[in-house]
Amino acid sequence: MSSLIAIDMLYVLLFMIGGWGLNLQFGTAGIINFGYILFEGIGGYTVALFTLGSKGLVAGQQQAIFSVALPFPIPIIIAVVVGGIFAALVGVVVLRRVRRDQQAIVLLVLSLMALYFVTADPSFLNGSIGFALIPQPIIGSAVASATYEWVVVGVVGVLTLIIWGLVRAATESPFGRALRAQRDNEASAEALGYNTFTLQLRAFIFGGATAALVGGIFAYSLTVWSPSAWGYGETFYFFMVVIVGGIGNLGGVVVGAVVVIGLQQGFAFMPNVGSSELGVVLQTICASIVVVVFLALRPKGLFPERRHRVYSLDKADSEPGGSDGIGACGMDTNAN
Amino acid sequence: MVGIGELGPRLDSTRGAPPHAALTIDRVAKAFGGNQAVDGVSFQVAAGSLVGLIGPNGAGKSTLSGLVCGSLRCDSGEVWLADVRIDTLSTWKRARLGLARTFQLSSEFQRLTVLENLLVGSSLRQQATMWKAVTARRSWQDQENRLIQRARQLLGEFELAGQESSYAGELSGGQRRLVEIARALMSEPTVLVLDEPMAGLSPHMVKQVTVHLERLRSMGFALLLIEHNVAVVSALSDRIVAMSQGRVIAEGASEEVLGNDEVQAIYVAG
Repeated sequence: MSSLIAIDMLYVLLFMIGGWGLNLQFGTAGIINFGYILFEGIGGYTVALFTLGSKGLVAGQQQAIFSVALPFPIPIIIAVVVGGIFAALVGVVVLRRVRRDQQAIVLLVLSLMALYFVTADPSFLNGSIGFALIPQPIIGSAVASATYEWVVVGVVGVLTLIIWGLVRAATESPFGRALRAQRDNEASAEALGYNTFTLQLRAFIFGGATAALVGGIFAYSLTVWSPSAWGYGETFYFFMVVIVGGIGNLGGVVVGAVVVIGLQQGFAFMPNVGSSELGVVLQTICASIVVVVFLALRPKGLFPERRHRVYSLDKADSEPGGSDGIGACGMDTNAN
Repeated sequence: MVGIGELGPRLDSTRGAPPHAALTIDRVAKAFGGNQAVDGVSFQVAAGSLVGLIGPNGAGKSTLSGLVCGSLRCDSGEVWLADVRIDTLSTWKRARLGLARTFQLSSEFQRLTVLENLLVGSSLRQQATMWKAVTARRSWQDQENRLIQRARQLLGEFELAGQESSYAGELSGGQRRLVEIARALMSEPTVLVLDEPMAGLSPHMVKQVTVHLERLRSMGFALLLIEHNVAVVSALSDRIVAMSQGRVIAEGASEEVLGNDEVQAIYVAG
């Protein structure tokens, strides 16, 4: 029971991290990334390839384009970097060349293409079977002990705090403000001197790296990674985290992650009646209904985007004078 | 502003050499399919002057505004911001050189507060990177602190002081216009292009915006005012450029242009 709670907590933390990455892209920057799960897939495969090594491949009778056995945490770091690089490559094409309302379709198609590509050629990433026997990281002396899951939860918990700090710093800074501005009106932001493409690209790369981190931890945790772990339907659950919790609200994502994992685990314990797939089917139907209800009745989620605090405001309030008004704006041109 | 007669030969003889006005539009043309929206338009806007651009719907005023500000690309002709040719630059690069604009339709950032709208328009854009957000917090907070003071001063002057924490989307149409102008001023421009800033405003707000524009001109801004309201343009402008069917049909002092037969035919006869 303790182990099950630890696993559920781990999943909540991972959905929080993934939800924040998606929230920066979708809630703050306004990029509808229906291919988000692709980057999680990249993270999982990268960890598998850099962990198994040739011995691991042989032991599991698996095929891969290459594999080396590197110690933790090198594979997860590589996963984050690869996720970011891949997001940069995709972002350069999609964010620059495709209209915003069509980006969602292009990204969805891209994730489907990747899924079919991986599945079609077993020599690349072991096809639809995927990888098994991914060795779990040794954290201190806790590997395979009774407390191992809780140690993992602790480590991922610290990682979650770090990601929260990064996302919060980003969203509450001039960077986050610029992202929200171009989300509201791209033409206006351009007219104020913002290169909206690079702004969006930065958010896209951060989200891609975050998703890869989640995928990598999932691969470590599950010890297996296959196309079924990153089907396009999984993107839907990350969107559910954001839509239910509150688009653009970091705290809302925490609640959204709890709701999604609660829903998934609730149906996992449902007794098999008729088909063994009944629980999964009902879970998907129920999740879909929840999303539709929220979008129709509470589109801003349980915790709508809050009024952002201007950080320096308190300091500015305490310092009298120093303002020059229009006069200072006049001809004091400061081209960058 | 230099008249078109004076402008043509000078630019012809010094092609490629930087002109001296704050904004120079030189034989700019743009066609959409077979429709020549802007056809060889030339004029200049000097620092500390306000040029009114008038014309009926479809005259090419907003297209010209797009060509100047970068949302559209010229088929031919040149646009100069002081001594920098800008017609090949993207919108954001033109803005960074000192060209600010307001839009025909309200373009405030609706889900940002009024104060945030102004800060987005400021030089804080140099700090708008993920890296600086995380590593250079003290640096951008110090800069932000100074800019908040300036933004508040501007809001006071535009009678928006009590609205700084309101979402811009919650303001009235007139107040949104003022936020747009104040936001543009936060970018420290040399040239401000105003695309129908009086559209949809009450007479009181028109009067208020008019006062602000007069002040901006007196402070040395070069202003290009694209406006349907001929009375406002006439009262404010040092010179007026009248366009019809993509061409300049009259240019000069207010009385001169409004007394022109072709302009009379459009605005008086209907």
